[in-house]
Formats: sequence, structure tokens, C-alpha cells
Amino acid sequence: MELSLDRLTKHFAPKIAVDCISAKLSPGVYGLLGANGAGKTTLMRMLCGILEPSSGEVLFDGRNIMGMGSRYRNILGYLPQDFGCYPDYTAREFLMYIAALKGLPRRAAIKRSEELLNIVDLDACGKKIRTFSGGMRQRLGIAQALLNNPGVLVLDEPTAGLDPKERVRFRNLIADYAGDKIVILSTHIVSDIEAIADEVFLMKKGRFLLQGAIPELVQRISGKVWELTVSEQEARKWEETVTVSNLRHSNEQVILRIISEEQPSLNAVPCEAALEDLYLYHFPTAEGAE
Amino acid sequence: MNKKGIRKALEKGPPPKRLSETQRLCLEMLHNQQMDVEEERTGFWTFLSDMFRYAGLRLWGTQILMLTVVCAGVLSVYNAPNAISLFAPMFALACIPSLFQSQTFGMCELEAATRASVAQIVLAKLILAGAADLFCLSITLAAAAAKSDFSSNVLQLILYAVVPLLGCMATALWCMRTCSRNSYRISMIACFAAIMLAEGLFRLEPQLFELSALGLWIAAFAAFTGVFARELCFLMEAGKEGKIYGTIA
Ligand SMILES: Nc1ncnc2c1ncn2[C@@H]1O[C@H](COP(=O)(O)OP(=O)(O)OP(=O)(O)O)[C@@H](O)[C@H]1O
Ligand SMILES: [Mg+2]
Repeated sequence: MELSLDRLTKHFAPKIAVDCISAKLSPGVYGLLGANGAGKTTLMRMLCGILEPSSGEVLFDGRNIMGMGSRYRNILGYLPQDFGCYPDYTAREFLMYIAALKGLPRRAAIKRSEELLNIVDLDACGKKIRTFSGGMRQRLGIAQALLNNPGVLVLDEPTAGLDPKERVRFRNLIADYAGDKIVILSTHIVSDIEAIADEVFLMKKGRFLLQGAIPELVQRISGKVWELTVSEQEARKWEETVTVSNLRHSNEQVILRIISEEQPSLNAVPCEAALEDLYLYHFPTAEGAE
Repeated sequence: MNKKGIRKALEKGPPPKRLSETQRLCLEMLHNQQMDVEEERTGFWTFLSDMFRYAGLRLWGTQILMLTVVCAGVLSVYNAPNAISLFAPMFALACIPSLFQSQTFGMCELEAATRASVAQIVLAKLILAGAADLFCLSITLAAAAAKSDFSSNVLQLILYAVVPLLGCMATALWCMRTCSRNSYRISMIACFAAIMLAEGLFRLEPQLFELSALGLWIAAFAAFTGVFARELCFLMEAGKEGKIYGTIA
């Protein structure tokens, strides 16, 4: 099973949201990381075949997904970034409705939705969706994406709105599920990507800036992350001049985590890099403000 | 050769020597191909019956509700047969919210990524609405015919009802396919406009409802049928080939 993106491009005149992206995805978990407006959602929509590319194509095992129609959607699970639910349904009814749209036979649908409701901890909830909290809706969204046991699972910001316990549960769910499937997820929560993804795509202005396994990518900025202990007044000055990825207070002093090509000060000591540092290294300011 | 024939032919041949080995090999091959073996999926008719359960009941409920309103209207106005063209778009008005339900509730993207996609969902709802409309129009026509001041023939009656209804439904489908935003609003406005136009004609141009104007109604019927059939073709093609129908994202 292989999903390949071949010079995938999407224009929203006059902007280019996705700019000539090529990649080959074999089974595994892929994390998309990028600033707001980087083009993650647009890319994911094209991967699901619900947005037509301006040029280029998405191929599943060598066949264009647009031509595969329902055969591709049979093996696709998708969680959109923003989605509504019919407010008068209960979680169970909603899953059964989506199962009908996915063409699951009734008996299989009942079994699968019970399993999934149990997994996302909504099995005891008989309330209408209109009364659900944001996190409960999100969990229901994750459950519906998994209904047809998809071979290609596309999740746009799946952990948005989940509490820490549910995020851990989600990570475990994806780790269990992935196996021989292609899972693509986007999130702004770097620690989620670190915990779940085998491979990361760093996206900037519609292009893949970097791609690869996390340790490999993090390796690229080793030697560029420093820790510096300064006074509070000095800390403010440092924040204006260099990229500070973290700041913590200790005994009236401030420990800054600085990302810099060169040693920012003689007192700065090198420290181990993490994915978040890599992100900040490439996105020192908000993308739009650059 | 059918299954029975194959079995008979095999029975005639020599007994298999390496049956268990063949069975094991076949099982292994099946196991290896598991990824290619597609899970069972339901067909369109099962999907339609599911859609009836989830959307059809409500759709039919609103149509029946509209039917009572329309019947009350038809029975209370003077010259009921001519007023039918004023009441018919109301049935379209009652089913359009259901056709645009996924837009209203932000479910477009989610539904479009399922096996059914947008086109099949709309098609299923259209079939359900069509069945309800057929029933409701028959009752309405019967009510109009039953009124004593009946001066039109059956063909006229049918045309007065079907032409505006077809016009409204064709507009709704066209909007859904071509307008990226506001398609729901435009369709609803089209229904209200049709009602108002019919009301205007009913009051100001009574000669339009005379037998001599039948040709005009037939021409309008042909035109709207053409547009509706064209939209239906687009919809069915998108449903069959799994193409994107309308603007989803
Ligand atoms: N339907 C649309 N019409 C016009 N422009 C669009 C449309 N959808 C997206 N864009 C533009 O394309 C760019 C990429 O948007 P996209 O939603 O893919 O970003 P994103 O990476 O998902 O951002 P976020 O992290 O905020 O979800 C943005 O500049 C956005 O304004
Ligand atoms: Mg997005």
C-alpha cells in the first residue's frame, strides 16, 4: 500500500496554498507540522479527494484517487479540522448514520460503533450531540473516522480540544491502530507529533521544508540549542534579540532556552535539542509577519 | 459454466492427490491478499433504506405537514385549479432544507469523504422527496378537482402543479452544483419567487390559465424537464464515478 503525492498544487487565486508537493507515503504514522495558513488542511483535503488539485495528483497504489471514486473512499477515514454534527442525534445514532454512508452492513456497523464508543469513552453517554462539550465532539469525530477500519487515515488536528488524559488515550489508540496503515495527522501540539509520528513533514508556505524521522530531523539542529541563566531584566532583552523557545524562573533568575547558530553568550551552555526547537528554528516569527 | 457445472466436472476427474497441501497454499495466498480483499459494502438500495430512516422520515413528515396546509389553501380559494401553481412550489420549499442539511450543519466535508459522497446522498434524498411529492401532488390535484368550480382538464391541472415544482427543484440542483456559497439561500429565494410569480399571474393574467394557453405550459414543462434531467444526469454521473459534486471545501 502506497500513497504518493505527485507535484500536488492548489491555487486559491492569487495565493498558492499548496505548492508542488511530492512525497511517497508507505504504512506508518506521518505528522504534519506547520504554522497557521501553511496549507496543512488544504493538503489533507486533496489527500481525501474532496478538493480538486489545481495541478498534480494523488496516487493510491499507482492509481489516481479521483478516478478511484468510492473504491478509494472505502478505505479512507477522515477527520476534518472543523465539522458539525447533527445535533439531534446521540453519539450512537451519529456513528450508525456515518456507518450507513460508509456502506457498512448493519450488523458490522453496530459491532464496530460499540467498540469505538468504548474506545473514545462515549459508550455510557446517551445524550444528544447538542449537549456535548468540544472534546466529546472531537472524540466522536475520531471514532467516525475509524468506523470503516480505514487503510488511509487522515486526521486534521485530532488532538485539538482534548484534555491531557484523552490525548494520551488518543496517542495509544493511534499507536495500536497504525500497524500496516497509512496515518497522516496534523497538529500544532509538537509533543503529540513527537509521541505518535514515525516521520514528520515540516510545512511552510505550502511546501515541505523538511521531512524525515524525528531523531534525524532533531539531529540537524543539535549544537544550536543553548541554555542561559540571566536576571529578569536581561531576560527581556534577550527575548527581543534571539529566539527563545522556553523560559523558566528559578531563584529570582531566569533560565532561557535559546535557539541560535552560534553561542549567544560565553555563559550559555549547549543542551539537547527537541522537535519544538526545530520548529522554532524554522518559524522564528509568525509566518504572516515575516 | 456455473458453480454446479464446475463441481460436476471436478467430480468426474481423478481424485485430488494433494488436497491438504492445496488447501493450505490457498489459505496462505488468501491471507497474503487480505489487504486487497475489499470488506463487504452495502448497495444503493440498502443505502436508500438507511437514508429513509435517517432523513426520509423527517422529509416525509414536513411534506405531509405542507400537504395539509396546501389542501386547506386549495379548498379555501376561489378557482382552485388555477391556484395550484401557487401552491406547488411549497412542496419544494418543504424538501429543500433536507437537501442542504449537510451544509447547514457543517457536515459536508465529513460526508463527502465517505463511500456515499455528496452526490449519492443528494440522489437518495431526491428519490425520497420525489416519492413524497408524487403522493402530495396527487392528493392536492384530487382536492382541486373535487372543488366544484372546476373548469380545467386533468392535463392542465398536472401542468399547473408540475411546472413550478420542477422549476424550483431544477434551480436547487443547479445552485448546489455551481454556486459555491449561498446555494441554500438562493434555492429558497427561488421557491418564494416562484410562489410570488404564480400568485401574480393567478391574479393579473387569468387568461394564462385558459385552454388556449396550454401550449405555453407545455413549452415551459419541456424546458424545465430538460434542465432538471440535465442536472439529474450530472448528479448521477458524479454519484456513479465518485466525482466531487458541488463545492465541499
Ligand atoms: N477555500 C479557500 N479559499 C481561499 N483561500 C483559502 C481557502 N482555503 C484555504 N485558503 C488559504 O490557503 C492557505 C492555507 O490554508 P489551510 O487552511 O490549508 O492552512 P492550515 O495549515 O490548515 O492552517 P491552520 O493551522 O490555521 O489550520 C491560507 O492562506 C488560506 O487563507
Ligand atoms: Mg488547518
